[in-house]
Amino acid sequence: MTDTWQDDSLVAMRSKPASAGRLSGRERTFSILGGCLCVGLGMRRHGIGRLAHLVVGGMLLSRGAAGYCSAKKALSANSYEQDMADAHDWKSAKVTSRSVTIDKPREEIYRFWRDFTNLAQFMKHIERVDVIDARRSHWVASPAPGKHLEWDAEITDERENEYIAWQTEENSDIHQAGWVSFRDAPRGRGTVIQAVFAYEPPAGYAGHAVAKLLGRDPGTQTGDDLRRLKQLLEIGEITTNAARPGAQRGGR
Amino acid sequence: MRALTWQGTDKLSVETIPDPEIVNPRDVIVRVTMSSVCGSDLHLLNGYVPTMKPGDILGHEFLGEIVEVGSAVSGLARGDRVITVSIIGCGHCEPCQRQEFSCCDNSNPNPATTEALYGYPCAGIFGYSHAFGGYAGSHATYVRVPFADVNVFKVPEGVRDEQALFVSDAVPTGYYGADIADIEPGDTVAVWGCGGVGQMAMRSAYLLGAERVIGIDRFADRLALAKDKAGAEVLDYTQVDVHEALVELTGGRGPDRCIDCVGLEAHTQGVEQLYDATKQKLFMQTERGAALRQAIRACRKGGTVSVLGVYAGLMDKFPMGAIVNKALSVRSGQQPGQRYVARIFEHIQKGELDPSYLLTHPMSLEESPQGYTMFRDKEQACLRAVFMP
Repeated sequence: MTDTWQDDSLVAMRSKPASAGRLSGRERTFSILGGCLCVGLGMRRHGIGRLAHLVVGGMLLSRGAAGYCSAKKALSANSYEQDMADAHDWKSAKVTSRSVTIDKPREEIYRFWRDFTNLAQFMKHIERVDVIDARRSHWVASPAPGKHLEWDAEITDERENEYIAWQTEENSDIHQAGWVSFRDAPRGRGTVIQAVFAYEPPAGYAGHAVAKLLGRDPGTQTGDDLRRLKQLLEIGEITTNAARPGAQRGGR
Repeated sequence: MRALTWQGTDKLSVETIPDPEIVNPRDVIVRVTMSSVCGSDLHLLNGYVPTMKPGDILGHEFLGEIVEVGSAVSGLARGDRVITVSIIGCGHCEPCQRQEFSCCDNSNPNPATTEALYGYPCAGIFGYSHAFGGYAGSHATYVRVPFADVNVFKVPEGVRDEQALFVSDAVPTGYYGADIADIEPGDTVAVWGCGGVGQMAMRSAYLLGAERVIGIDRFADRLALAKDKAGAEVLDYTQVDVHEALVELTGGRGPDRCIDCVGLEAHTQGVEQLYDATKQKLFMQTERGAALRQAIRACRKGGTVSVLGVYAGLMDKFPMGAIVNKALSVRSGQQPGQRYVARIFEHIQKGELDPSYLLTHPMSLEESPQGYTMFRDKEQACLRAVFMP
């Protein structure tokens, strides 16, 4: 995984291959047979029941005839995710990417991030990060109230003031990898930070879709974390509407 | 402490709740001495702005005395008589550095809602729904103010309480609307809505070089104030066809600058009112846009339409054709008051601006629910009910 942080990776990360959503021969046959069955059953009914059967049957027929399904496409991996799953020998991979611009010098932000003990200050679900040695660190997380996770991670690649890549160690219970890049924003407008997070979704792609709906997917969490980092570095505190310490109202 | 809380659409009650405390180092706690209603609160009351929760404290325009100061705040001290700009800036992000405080990147702790609605998260506002940060408002004994070094201003000598109060919101909103309208000497400025913000926009338009100012409303008392206090010519839209009157008054050219101080609950007459109100009730549009449509149509070719009224979502029948074919500039925004406070205090000290006449109904905090009803129904010529906790 060299040079994954080049600009073109963003396009790969967000676009599906041309084959995505295409149905196999067997899938087309089942779709057409199912559509015929549905239409047939519908003709025996009356009123709203008939209408519903005809609509669903018609959709299945056209799906089978076209050999393409947009729902299948939405749930399929993009090329970057396929590469990621292959590279790490995972069943499947889900990759999310978020960016933020912070009005501080690149070196300062890199230094802050590279000291992993700082990360718990703005990563909401991370309780603590212990640095083991120059490459390895131990992470303690509480992804939900009462839930507790620990793992070891190692740096797989880094370039000072530019880029840090990491992954969970092989014997970990969870499988994650990611990288964060630091680049100058145009004309002295600070630093653009891009954080990419890849994981093997425990409940597959459907599980990821549900988490996303609930705002609990890694992409949403990374976006929220980056916003807190921006607050911390730009204004020295994390914004809160709390009237008293620890009494924040609303929000994720 | 006591506080006026929102309990549901059209339901307000005064409750006893715990006092706020310093949370972050740049906070101050202000003991509120005066806190004003604002037309924009009515949209919350009437249920047009979602993400209100029972128990939320209303109010964003207030004067008070500092009672506690966070460890990182300099230049402010206990006992200072201060006003606070209602839209919160952090002072350090890129928009704040450009003096666009109302576009602050960092002041909204609940960014998800406005990000989903508008593409990017918007700044936090006191007492103005969870979409705008869920901050407790100022109709209370005390209020916690974040980033006090940026948002809190000492009231200078010679400025009275009832003048200073409105430098929180109504005056800078009107002043901002006139400023972004890019008024040039000799210009005629038409202002839709003669409520508190409209009155301030009219006065500010003169201060920024307008030759003539025309105020539009239907309430006789507000039209009278626009004439007597803001020095405007006035039009009652229930009596005259506004468009024809404006064309006639400007020798066929149209007003150079048009300022909308009405917003999403605009009222008009005839079919348009019926159409907008029906679609809004059916949730087929969120805005009733009669005032803005009229302003766009009336504005002269190449002129500026400045939008101060509150709009929340999607408007139907938006006259884009008039904007393109007449080469109009449309400017808008929540007020970045931090940019104007010093200038406005100077105008007040020199006697060029006196917002104190907006305060028509001083009352206690306990009476505040009735105060809002009176203000909403525009009874007893109420321009601003102001609560004194």
